[in-house]
Amino acid sequence: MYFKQLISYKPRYFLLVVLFVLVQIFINLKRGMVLTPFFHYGMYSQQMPPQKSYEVLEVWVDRKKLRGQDFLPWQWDKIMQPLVYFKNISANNLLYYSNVKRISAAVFLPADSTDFIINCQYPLFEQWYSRYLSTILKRPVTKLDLVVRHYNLQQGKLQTTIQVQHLASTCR
Amino acid sequence: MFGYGIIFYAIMVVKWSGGLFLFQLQPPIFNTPFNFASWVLMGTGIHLWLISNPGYWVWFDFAFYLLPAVYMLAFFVGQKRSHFLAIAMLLVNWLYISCYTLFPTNSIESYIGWLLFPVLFITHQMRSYYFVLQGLRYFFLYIMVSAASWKLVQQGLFNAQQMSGVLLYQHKEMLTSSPDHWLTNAYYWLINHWLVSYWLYLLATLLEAFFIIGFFTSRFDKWLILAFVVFLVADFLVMRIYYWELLPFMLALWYGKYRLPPKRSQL
Repeated sequence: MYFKQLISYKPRYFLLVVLFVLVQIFINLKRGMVLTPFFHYGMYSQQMPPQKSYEVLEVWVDRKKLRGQDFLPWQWDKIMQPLVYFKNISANNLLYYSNVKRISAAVFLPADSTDFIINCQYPLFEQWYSRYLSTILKRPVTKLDLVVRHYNLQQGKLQTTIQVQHLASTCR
Repeated sequence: MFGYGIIFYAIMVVKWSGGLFLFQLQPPIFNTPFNFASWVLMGTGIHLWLISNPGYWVWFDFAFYLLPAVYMLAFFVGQKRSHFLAIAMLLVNWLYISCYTLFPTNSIESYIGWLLFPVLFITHQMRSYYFVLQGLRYFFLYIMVSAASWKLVQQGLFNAQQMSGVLLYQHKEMLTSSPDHWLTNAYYWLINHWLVSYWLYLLATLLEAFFIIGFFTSRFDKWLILAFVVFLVADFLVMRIYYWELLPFMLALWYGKYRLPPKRSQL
């Protein structure tokens, strides 16, 4: 009905809508890469059975670990997201060499590495994060430790292990 | 337009109070998404320019949050060329959201309403408005139904321990940092009672799939609005994920029952 009305109203609008639908179908069939505003809405749709172990980010301020229970969901996200991004630097840089560079070159799009590659400047990141965190906590942060700790899933709970690495070492 | 303004500015207040404006976040780091449009934008270096010129973030926020108000004002005082402001709003929204989501914030998918709704305000004939609004309504129905379809295609639905795995992944920082909190205990209960949590996953999928009815009739649109609000609240409680930015689509459902207006009627 919608299409019938639209084609009789303005055929060029109809063509635009058909084009929009076709691009969305193409993006869906292709999977992987998206193109704003054509996205996949498949969050948590792939199989995700419980794992034996998990890497967990931890924020230690003045030798005390920050607790999720003390923050609203968006505040907790604000605390965690920059760390997730830092931990993802290697994957980000890999994406440039494996896909961005190749695909952009294929369509003659300039994709200079300086616009995509992130350098691991941990001291600068920590300096910024310390300032950023103090605005969220509303108190000064004097001693900060950012670590990735491994937890094992045992007896239905995540149990701490001795396997721990500093966030700085996740980026090389 | 008025409804859109109310939703937009209510979310703005939430973002402001949560310190989620760009100038409040002052991000020094970005992430490259697997999104070709983002690569085009990043090729201009605008994200790096923003990082090295934090003084401009406030102007970025200012333009993004002010334009809808300027447009509304122009529209209500009967400014005939207000649709030019809507075009500016469309461009600013795309630029702002594309940059904003490169930084540690949310994923760009949840901003799809803010990316597409300005197209509605570009129209100045009642019939065009009707077709764009109906198009947005169908697109929102597609979003919900496709979310259910992906769970089928990617087989998440066929994994009985799916929701246990999802909860562990989503809340691992919360679970390990607050081991004795009631919310942690509730999550662990769901994780260990995987059949119950799978039912939650299944119900969420069925709720998403329920939106397919909207493709055939607009008679149940009010129920779809209710279903979406339930979905939003449940997502917030169980997953601690908030999709408030999708709320403008409720307007497309609310006005979905209206029929094709007569020819040449102006807004």
